[in-house]
Amino acid sequence: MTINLKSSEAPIREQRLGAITGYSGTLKDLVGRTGCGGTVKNCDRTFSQSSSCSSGCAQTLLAGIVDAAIVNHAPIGCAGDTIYHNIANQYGRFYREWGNRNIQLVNTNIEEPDTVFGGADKLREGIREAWRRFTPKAIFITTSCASGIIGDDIRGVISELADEIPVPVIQVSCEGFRSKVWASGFDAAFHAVLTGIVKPPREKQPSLVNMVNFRGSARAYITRLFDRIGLVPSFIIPFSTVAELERISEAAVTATVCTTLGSYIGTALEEQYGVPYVKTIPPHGFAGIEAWLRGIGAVVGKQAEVEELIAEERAATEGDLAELRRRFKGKRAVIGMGPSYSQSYLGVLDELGIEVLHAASWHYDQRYDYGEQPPAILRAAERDKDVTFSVADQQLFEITNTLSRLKPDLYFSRHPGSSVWAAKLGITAIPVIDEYSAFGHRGLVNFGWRIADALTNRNFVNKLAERVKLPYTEWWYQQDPYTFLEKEAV
Amino acid sequence: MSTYIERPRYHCALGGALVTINSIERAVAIVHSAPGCAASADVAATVGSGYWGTTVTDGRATPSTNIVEREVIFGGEERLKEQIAATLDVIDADLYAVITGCMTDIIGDDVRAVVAEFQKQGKPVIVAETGGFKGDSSVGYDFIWESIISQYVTKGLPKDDRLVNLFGFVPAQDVFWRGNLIELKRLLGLLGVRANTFLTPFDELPSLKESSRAALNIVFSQVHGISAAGKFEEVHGVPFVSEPLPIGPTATEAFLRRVGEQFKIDSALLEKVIADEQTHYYRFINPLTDLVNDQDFQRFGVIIGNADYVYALTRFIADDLGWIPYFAAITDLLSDEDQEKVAEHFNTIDVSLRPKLIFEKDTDRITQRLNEELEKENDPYGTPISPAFVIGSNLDRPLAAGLKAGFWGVSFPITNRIVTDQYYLGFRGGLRLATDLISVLISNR
Repeated sequence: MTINLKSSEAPIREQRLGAITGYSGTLKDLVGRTGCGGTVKNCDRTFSQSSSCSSGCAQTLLAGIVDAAIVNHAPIGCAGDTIYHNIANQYGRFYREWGNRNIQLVNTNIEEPDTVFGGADKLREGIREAWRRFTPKAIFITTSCASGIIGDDIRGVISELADEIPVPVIQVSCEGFRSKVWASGFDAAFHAVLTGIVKPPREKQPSLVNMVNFRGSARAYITRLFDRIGLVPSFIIPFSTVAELERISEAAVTATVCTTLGSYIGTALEEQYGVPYVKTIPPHGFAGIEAWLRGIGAVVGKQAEVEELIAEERAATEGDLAELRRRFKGKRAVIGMGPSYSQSYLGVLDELGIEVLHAASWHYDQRYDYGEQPPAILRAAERDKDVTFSVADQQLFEITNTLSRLKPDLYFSRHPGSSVWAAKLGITAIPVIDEYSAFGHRGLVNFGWRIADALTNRNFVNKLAERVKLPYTEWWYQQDPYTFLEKEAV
Repeated sequence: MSTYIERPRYHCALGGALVTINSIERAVAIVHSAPGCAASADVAATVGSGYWGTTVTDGRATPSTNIVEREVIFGGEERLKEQIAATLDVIDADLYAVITGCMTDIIGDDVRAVVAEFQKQGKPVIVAETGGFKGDSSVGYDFIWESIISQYVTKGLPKDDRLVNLFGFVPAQDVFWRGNLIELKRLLGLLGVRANTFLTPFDELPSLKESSRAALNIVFSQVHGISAAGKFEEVHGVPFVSEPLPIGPTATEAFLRRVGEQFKIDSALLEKVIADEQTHYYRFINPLTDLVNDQDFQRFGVIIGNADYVYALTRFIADDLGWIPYFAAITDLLSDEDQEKVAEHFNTIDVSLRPKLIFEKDTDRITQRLNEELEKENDPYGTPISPAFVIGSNLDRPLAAGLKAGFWGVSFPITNRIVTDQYYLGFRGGLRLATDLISVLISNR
């Protein structure tokens, strides 16, 4: 399947990747049935809890571009979660010693009369204001349910302003109601960058790596690793500049820490500009980093250097890993993360010697943009032992029910708002918020020690659990966790 | 009609309704909207309010129909019905509030008819149409209260002449709503008046159910909660008064005297309560005098936030702290009529201490307007308001840095510290605020 950069928007993941948000079964079943062109049908729920919005995912990436601005064409509430993006922005700027500054975002404040008469005027003024105020190098127009349903002609407004605003003004189609898979918002953001910012290569930059990530906490570690094989990482999209993004077509290779995140842009750059996309499992744990570095090394012809590097990194960390495995003997865990991490962390926890009782994935892409099943789930399915596996757009009532049945020692989660429920059940919760947790050999060991520390003193969660009642009825705890999931037609 | 806003300082109507429900013990929202609305509203409120954090269901565990394109085309009423029925089984609560988002309000689902079916079966389900485009969090607060008042609160109960209901505190939007309400309840209690606060972690649902017993509703705002109180009067015959937020000894004494008159409180008791609380304030402030005097800690005040806080903070720094209010920016989305009401209120401040007042919801334009004011000043040194102090939200830190001014966050969003039971209302809240403001000035020592 080819990514169409002529189209005005990226098709949602449900259409493009066969993504689902409702499934209950086992890992091997899911992998078996979605291999060789097979598909599973999504199951809906008759009870659901809130999940996340595509627009938040688009904006968290785009608001991080340091010299771009966002015009959020939406009622004010849709810009509410930019408070959170601003925190991420300010932390990131602090660590880079860039000084305090807010993200550059204007919301068009769609109100009731606009739902009748249209919001084009407000959009036009919003774009003008963003230009006047920030003089950005690019302006992204993020859409909303309201703007989508009203049917504002965003392209029309953009072309009207073409002579007036001398920088790219790009539509980002991230209406929350289009997709239940919030990662569709990442693709919307990448599509906008690919179609509105990225330029054809002037000349190839043989040492440049497009490192697709979120916040880039492991910059120093990756820079050191890459330096050993003669490569230089450029961390995209957050904290990059428009000028840097214009040139990603010139890179030697695209790699990612999260295959959910990287699929669209990695595949598009490969198809459009011949920049190879590393399609290995994500670089978490020993197996992850080794496969990933070998993938990169193969592209740039540095196999020997990579092997040497791997041997060194292994030697530096094997002792710690053995000690951690000894400590974690008999420990049992449940995982609830986005698909790339959920799959990747099955491998990470294997390496740490922690048994996984159940894995939940916040959605599941049956195949990536380059047409293959996600590599990490294939690897996980090769293990002898199968594991129960569920797909839910962070449906916490299912997770809470599952945790209260399985009573694991540990709950590993990603995305805010999930680990808290395990903690309130008295289960040690390890939220993986930093995308570089367990990155590489040293990251795995660091992550292991973090788990060991969390298990060393469980007083906080234990005492909390004694005093907190969760919102569910007794009835619910006695039901199958998937009671409200539609049964698959066989 | 308003135009664009840079980085709004509030959530939408749905968000305001959601956090109000989330603040009520054993109440849960059922959001009829797109998949991300509740989570987005929740994260804005619970992070921006000094990390309020998870409530009973918090945003991400909030029951939500998560409607998508299919329902936009075919309608979402069936989905809502199925969701309400399931929620009654899964979630253990005593009040279920259906609130709607932009999509459902635009496509015109008849949510009232769907909810009426459940109400007929005696289920404690209420409904409010809170489409995000209808306004900000404060509007949503009013919408959900109107529904609670007309659909949930018991009608026809006898009145209790020593009971009041307190309104006007939009949870999270007033970052200190919990502490503020608890302190007001304590203060009124000293006068023998019991107060229903509804939105603290210590309130129970029966007090809400029977709130129609109150003799009076006090709305601590000139603009927010007024329509809810109007609805209360219409449905339950309880009159209301609007009071400014009482921050510090001067404002709080005046407030207590008005309450004393309203409830015919014994004057000896009233005087004793006021004297005791004044004593508490001044016995802590008194020893700070040498620090404040010797270091010349008088400041020019730049105050940014919602109408209620900006007025009350201006009053406090002028009346109690002895600072000079210079510039006040009110960031709410207000009608012209409400703006006039608020501006008139500012005119009660003596002209020598009355700040330049603007209504501006847009962060960078506030800086611009302030700079315009400063340029008009005929100051040979180019520092007409030095030293200055900015009391605003986290978004105003760059403005404060530009002025080389002290900064303290009081209005939403506050993201650089934790807020639990802190409060700024009353005598003791004023003491807390004085402590916080002056601490900023010595924080580099």
